[in-house]
Amino acid sequence: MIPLLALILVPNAGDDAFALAKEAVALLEARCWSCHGPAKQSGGLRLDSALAISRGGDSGNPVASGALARSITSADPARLMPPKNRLSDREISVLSRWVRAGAAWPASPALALFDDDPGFPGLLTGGKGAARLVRDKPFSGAAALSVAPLQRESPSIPGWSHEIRENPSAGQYRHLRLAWRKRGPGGIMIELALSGKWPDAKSAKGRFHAGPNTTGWASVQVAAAAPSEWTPVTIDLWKALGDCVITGIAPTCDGGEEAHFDAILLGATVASLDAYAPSAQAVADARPVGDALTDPRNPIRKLFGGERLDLWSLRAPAKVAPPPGHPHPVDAFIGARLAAKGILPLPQADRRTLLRRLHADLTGLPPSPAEVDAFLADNRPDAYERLVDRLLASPAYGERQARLWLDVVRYADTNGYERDEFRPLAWRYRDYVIRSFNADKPFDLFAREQLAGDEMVNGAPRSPAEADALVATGYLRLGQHDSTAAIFQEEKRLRAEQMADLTNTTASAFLGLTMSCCQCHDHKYDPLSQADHYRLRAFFAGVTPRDDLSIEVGPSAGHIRDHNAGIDTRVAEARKAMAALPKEKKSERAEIQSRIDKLAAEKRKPAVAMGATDSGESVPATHRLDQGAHDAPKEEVAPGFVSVLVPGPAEVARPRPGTSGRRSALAAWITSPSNPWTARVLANRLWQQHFGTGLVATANDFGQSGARPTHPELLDWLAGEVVARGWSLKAIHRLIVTSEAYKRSSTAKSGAPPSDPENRLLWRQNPRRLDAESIRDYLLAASGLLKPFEGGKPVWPSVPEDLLKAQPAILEAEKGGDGGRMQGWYPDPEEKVDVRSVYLIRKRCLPIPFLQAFDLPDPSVSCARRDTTIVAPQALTLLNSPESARYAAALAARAQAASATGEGKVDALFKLALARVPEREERDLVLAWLSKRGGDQAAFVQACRAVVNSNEFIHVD
Amino acid sequence: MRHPSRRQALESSGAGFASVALGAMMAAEARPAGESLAASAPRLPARAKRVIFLFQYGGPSTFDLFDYKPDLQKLDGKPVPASLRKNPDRVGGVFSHCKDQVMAGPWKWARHGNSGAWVSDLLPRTAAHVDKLCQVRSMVSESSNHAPATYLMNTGAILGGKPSLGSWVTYGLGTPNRNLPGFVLLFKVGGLGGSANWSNAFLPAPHQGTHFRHEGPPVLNLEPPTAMAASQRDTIDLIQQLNARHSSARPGSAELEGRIASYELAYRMQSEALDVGEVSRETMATQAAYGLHDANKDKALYGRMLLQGRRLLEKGVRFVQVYNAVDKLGWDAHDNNEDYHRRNCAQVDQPTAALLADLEQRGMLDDTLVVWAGEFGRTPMMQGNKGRNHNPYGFTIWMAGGGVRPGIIGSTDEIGLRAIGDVQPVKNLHATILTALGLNPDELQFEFNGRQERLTGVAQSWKLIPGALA
Repeated sequence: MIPLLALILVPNAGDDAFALAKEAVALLEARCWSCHGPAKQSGGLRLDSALAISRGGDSGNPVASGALARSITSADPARLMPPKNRLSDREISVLSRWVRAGAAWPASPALALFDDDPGFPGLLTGGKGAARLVRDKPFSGAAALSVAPLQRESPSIPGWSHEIRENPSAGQYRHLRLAWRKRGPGGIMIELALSGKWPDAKSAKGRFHAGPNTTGWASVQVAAAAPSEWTPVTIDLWKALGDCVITGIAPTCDGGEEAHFDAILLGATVASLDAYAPSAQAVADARPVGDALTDPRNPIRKLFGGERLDLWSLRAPAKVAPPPGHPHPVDAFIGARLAAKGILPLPQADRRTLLRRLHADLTGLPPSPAEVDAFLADNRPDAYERLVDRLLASPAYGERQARLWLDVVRYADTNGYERDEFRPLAWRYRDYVIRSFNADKPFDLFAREQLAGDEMVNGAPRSPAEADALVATGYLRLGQHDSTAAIFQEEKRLRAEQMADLTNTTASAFLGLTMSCCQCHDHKYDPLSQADHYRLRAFFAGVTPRDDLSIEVGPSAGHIRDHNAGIDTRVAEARKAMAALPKEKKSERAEIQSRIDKLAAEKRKPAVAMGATDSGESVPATHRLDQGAHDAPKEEVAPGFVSVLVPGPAEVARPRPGTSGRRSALAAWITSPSNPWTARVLANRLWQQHFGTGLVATANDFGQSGARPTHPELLDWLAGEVVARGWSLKAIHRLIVTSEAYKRSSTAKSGAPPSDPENRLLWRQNPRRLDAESIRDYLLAASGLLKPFEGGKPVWPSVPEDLLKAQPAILEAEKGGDGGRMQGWYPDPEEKVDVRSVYLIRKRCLPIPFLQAFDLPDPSVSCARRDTTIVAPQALTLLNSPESARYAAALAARAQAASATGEGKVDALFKLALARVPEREERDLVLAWLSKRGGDQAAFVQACRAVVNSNEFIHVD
Repeated sequence: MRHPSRRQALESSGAGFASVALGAMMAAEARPAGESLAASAPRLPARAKRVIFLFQYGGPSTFDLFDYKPDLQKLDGKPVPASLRKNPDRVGGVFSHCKDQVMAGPWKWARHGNSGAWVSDLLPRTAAHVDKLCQVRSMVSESSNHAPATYLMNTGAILGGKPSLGSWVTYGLGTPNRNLPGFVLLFKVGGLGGSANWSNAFLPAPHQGTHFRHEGPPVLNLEPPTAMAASQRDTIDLIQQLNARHSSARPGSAELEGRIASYELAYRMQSEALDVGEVSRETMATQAAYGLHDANKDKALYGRMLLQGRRLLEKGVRFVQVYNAVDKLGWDAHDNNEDYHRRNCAQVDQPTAALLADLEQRGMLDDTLVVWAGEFGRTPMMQGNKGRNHNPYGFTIWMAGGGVRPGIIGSTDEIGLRAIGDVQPVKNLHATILTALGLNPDELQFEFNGRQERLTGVAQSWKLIPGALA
């Protein structure tokens, strides 16, 4: 940016300074303008107005840099100006004094209605269209005003009451000058409000435009074409309008993309307009505001002072190298801390424990007896690494990983609220998540697809990857939805709630920020303002729910079209044939009709997904809501990132017509490596998966009230690895589970070191209980009931009848009163339900009791980490539920089939359920128990029931 | 409570539904059963120790029951007076579905008790207890739709996913009887919106509402499948032997010990929970008072649930919530308001009166808070065929017992459409209930996803219902 000098405007004739200025400008005109004026600009320099001087030439502003003063006094004849007809000493003295005094232009000051003021777009409170500041090559100062179709306006801007007169006296004006340019086709217009009123549509008085005018309002055309480069226009307002008072303005973009306006000035004389230059302070203020750490103008800094800026997660992850001395980088970080505390870590767990642990963490399924045997027999030095790779490559990995992500994004298959209808297409998102993890889709792409997949695809998807990007937008639809809100005109309230929910979930899931705290007021602890919630919310303002996103890929979409067209032709032929038949030929007619029906049934419907697109050109405005109340909108808020780091409005580029690009901009920022949160939050979630607790214990809260990282350097290093390894989750999993820290025993036989009883420094592995879905999946796997499932519609197990009868919405559905809205419970036959739990129906108003007993989270809010409580209903469920009895019976049959001897059967039971053979005492214990119970089939089933109820079955060491 | 440590998490597990007394295992941390979980919350003097919340699902028309409006008769059949027309307010449209016609009810009204409070002839037996009731006639809701308004009444938020009042209360106070859930629901048909109405949400699982069935074993899976019943003890013994071996190799694990204890507890619970559900142990006179053998099956059912509720409270259950509905309709009288209200009142009047009398007679009313409330009220304008629409702008609820001061608080306009005096949002009711229980609404908090969550929302955004507490 050109350094600009504040020009002191000389107020009145008769004043010494005014006389000096007048004389100096007359000198410039006589001696300089021939080369530095309207006709010619040597060195790109004009000296014919204060603005021109301030914009400078090739070597900048000649007044500010001192070049002008030097050039007229230079000892070097080659540099001395003017080159011919040297200035007299007196002339040199006049110009030098004038420059020293600030190079004021001789005129009463022009008034800038707009030039650089960042608050100006906010003054334009009405109109369909958007206004913002742009800083790329403004005409004057540091920023220009950009308006997107159609206009932003206010007929009475506070403080505006500018009188226009033929001979203006102090404080009155006559001329308007502004610079404008147009991006894209169409016209550009400025509209002035006089005494609080816009000109009548039929009157051109008060409107001035260049290029075409399609607004339907009469206007004075000042140029045939809208300029594509900055062009100043000067209008004699008094001639156009007579005496009047200007109170408001409407910069207008008539079609095209954007209209830019800059230096909108009022002047008493044209000379005063010429004399105008933006003030240095205004220019400085218009510089983009920086982050709160470096720029005192940052709004968060203004709001909270420097106090909250010590938040650890605000700083970009440090580029750290692992401390020396350990072959594995993870162990280098952990080992350093343990050594500093003098804590000796536990040794590596035995191989069977490692096998069971790794299976639980990576696949959520137990190892089969064959897998146990194979691993225990594998003596190759890299047997463990091979196991890791095999598990990461197994489809069960994606199913497990997906379950954890679905918790974070609060996935469910129903709407919630009064009707809690089934969402027939939600499962496509669930399958997409599983598929993405199994394919090791880079997490940044995974995030982009969910936030803005629709903006990545232009028209019909051309590849399965593009279809997936559309399915991914199901993310935007996962919150609760009250389909009855419309009945009571509560759509606005509902929409506000859903937007808040989506905003808060996105902040928690990707950034570890608690935006829910600043919905009603500024954040209580973190450097987040209430505006930040709404800035983030504004990215989602264009979200348009869709249940009909076609995901048929190119050829298959074509095939379906052809196929259906073929059927249409045959149906038409059959109809013709029928029409030709006399009415009496009933049987023939019936035959044709049945053929038509059959054909119609063969028509194929293109696959569709539940997701979202964007409202495109006209995104509804987002307002800050007073106390978060949907009916108390305050000022409009433009999309913006977390203002403590990026305080300005976000740069949003439209990727193609028909979509706003807002969510793409958000996704780009969220996945940008300069964002301090995303990679850390992700690394922490993966760590939590393998140690039970994250390096930051509060995985959804990296704020002041959340936990501090136990190993900040390790977290930063891992975050760096996430980016360095192309956001590959499998790579990070591999990194973590191959560490010694991961492989340590979890059992401290001689107790915990007194300095770290909570194991914060990870001198051992943390034992943990399986979560609800894993418990059921383990039971299915051990009993051999588990059926592979390719994905698709969720599976509905049976639940007790009285639970269904107790739900008004289900009752209504069972009586057929739900109008096909699928409010009910639709149990699948028993032979179909034994699939992994991630595929089971998740109904918001009726959780599956078996899973609910084991701390199933409420799918209405993001769950960062499962609770593990101990309550008697868990024992009741595992002991007494019909599911449990069925699993025990199947497990018994499987164990019994494995061996002919009693001992062999018990061994098989242990291997199936616990991935080990029983110790001799255990075997004897069970055999004795069996014989006491008569040793029959029923007794063996009970023994199986006992083993799956044992602590060992549902805990992982 | 900030990020709970493992130990804290275990402790918090240790105070809910038949949860495991880990405190007792960690001798230093042992505390008497029933002591507050939120130990950090400063306690106020408790007026009530337990709550029974009678949820009137569907929205009763409370100016047909308690909030006497003589003007309704005068205006019957006439348009809504111009002075009352201004379209309300924050919530969605109510007028748009109604006729512009005021509709009076055919009820006879009389003054009752020493207070001389008006009650319509729909509730003759409840009327006999009117001197015990603290009526709040100026309640407002934030939604005119069932599920959001029901969520609001139960969880303080119109968006599902927050813990319910009962969960907050057991979280704050624990529960005296660890063999029973602290928070029990009794219903044939629960509120619209399903389990979100009694969800513990992010509070630990012990604070989840447990549905006690009114027939059969009261708790799901309480009893083993018949074929396994005989060997249940033996099976548990085998489990515990396996567990003992497992634990001995992993010394010092509170989780493992806790689970071992939970199986013993589950076994003991069978008898206790079965017993508490057994209303046949009550005298015939008590059974009759509650209407258990009434020809009106709905009344008999409601009476059975209230009697079960009283037995549960007696056994130390902290919070009981009863829903009166027997089908999807409840009090939701969009058509034929008279029929709906005759039916519902015939169902609830006698059992409600019996409960109040029974609690009083047993000396339990002094420290048992009884709450009677729907999710909203109904319009004085006619909807459809002599029905009334939802009305969140003004309705009556009442409380009794548990340190509540009887009387009448707040008022609605002359046709019962809008609360006009002492307007009470639902959070004020919640704050009042918590305060009656000795809990400070602002201190009863739980940090979840980085936010201090409270039943009553932002600190100090509530007010106690003035004059409701003695």
